[in-house]
Amino acid sequence: MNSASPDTTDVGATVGSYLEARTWVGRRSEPRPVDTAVDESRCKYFAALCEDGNPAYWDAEWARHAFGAPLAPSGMLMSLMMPLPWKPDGRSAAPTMAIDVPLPGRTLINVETDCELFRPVHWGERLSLCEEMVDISPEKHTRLGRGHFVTTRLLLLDAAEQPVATITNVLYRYEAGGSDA
Amino acid sequence: MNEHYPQKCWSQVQQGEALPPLHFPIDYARIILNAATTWDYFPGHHNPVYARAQGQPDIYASTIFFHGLIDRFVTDWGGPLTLVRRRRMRMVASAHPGDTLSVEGRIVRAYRETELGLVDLEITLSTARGLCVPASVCARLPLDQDECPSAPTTKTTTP
Repeated sequence: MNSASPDTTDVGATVGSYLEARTWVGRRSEPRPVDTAVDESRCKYFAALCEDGNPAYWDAEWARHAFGAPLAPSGMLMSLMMPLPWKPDGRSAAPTMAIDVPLPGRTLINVETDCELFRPVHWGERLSLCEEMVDISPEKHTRLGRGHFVTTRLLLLDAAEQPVATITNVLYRYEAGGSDA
Repeated sequence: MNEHYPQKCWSQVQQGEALPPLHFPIDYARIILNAATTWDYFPGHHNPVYARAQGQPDIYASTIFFHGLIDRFVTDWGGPLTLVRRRRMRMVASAHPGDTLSVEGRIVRAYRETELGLVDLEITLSTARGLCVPASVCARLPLDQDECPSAPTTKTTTP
C-alpha cells in the first residue's frame, strides 16, 4: 500500500476533531434546489453508462403512455446531489455534509447506501434536496486507514415539496496508510 | 399486456426464481464515463495517483454506477413497468479497469401489500477477486396482465 496522503485540496474535506464532529449529529441542511432540471440528456447519458435499454428512458411515446412522461433512471437519483463543478459566482456547495463535517480523515470512500424511492422521477422535474447528519462512529481501524464512519440521510423533494426519495449513506472518512486490521 | 416490451407480472413470479445473470466489463473509459454522467468527480474515480494514495490499486467505479447497474439488472428481468422501491447495498470491494462485474440474483420473497405486487431480491455483484457488492432490492411489478398498458405504437424494438 502506498502510504502517501492524498492531495486533500482535491476533496476539500474539513479537518477537525471527532468531538467537533459529534456536535453535527442531528444537524439538518436547508433545502437547496438541484442545480439543473432532471433533463433528457442527463437521463439518457446515465442509462448509456449502464447500457440500460429500458424504454422508460428511451421511448418517450411509450413512457408517456405508461408513466405520463419519460423517467429518470432510478439509479441516477443520488447523482442529483452532485453540484456543478463551477458556477459564475464561484461558489459550488460540497455535495454532502460528510465532506463538510470536521474530522481528522482527509479522504473518503463510500461504504453503504439504503435508498427508498417513493415514486418515479420524470424528465423535466425540478427537485430540491436537504440532508441530515445521522451518526458519526468513534474512530475505527480498517485496511485503508484510521477513520470514522459518517451516516447521512438525503431527502429529495419535488416542486410541491413532497418527498420522492430518501438516500441513507454511510461513508468512511479516513487517513490513508492504516493497518491491515 | 404490452406486446412490444416484455413485462413480467407479479402473478407469474416464484420465490427462489433466479434472474438471468449479467456480465459487465469495466475499463478506463467506463469509469471516466461514470464520473461524467453522475457529476461525481471525486478524484478516486478519475485520478490513479489519488486512488493509489487512498490504498486502492487503481481508479474505481462509483456508488451511483452500482445503483444503476443493479436497477438495470432488475428491470432487464422484470420489464419496463418494474419499479425499484428500495435498494440497499454495501461496497465490500471496489471495481477497477480490467474487471468484469458479474451480477446475479434471485427472488427471496414474493408478496402483496394492499394492491401492490412486490418482490424482494437478493443480488450480488462480483469480480474475479470475489464479492464486490451485496445488495437487496424491493421491486414492484404489475399484479397481472390487466395492469400492463397496451403499447401506443407498433414498435418492435425490445430492450
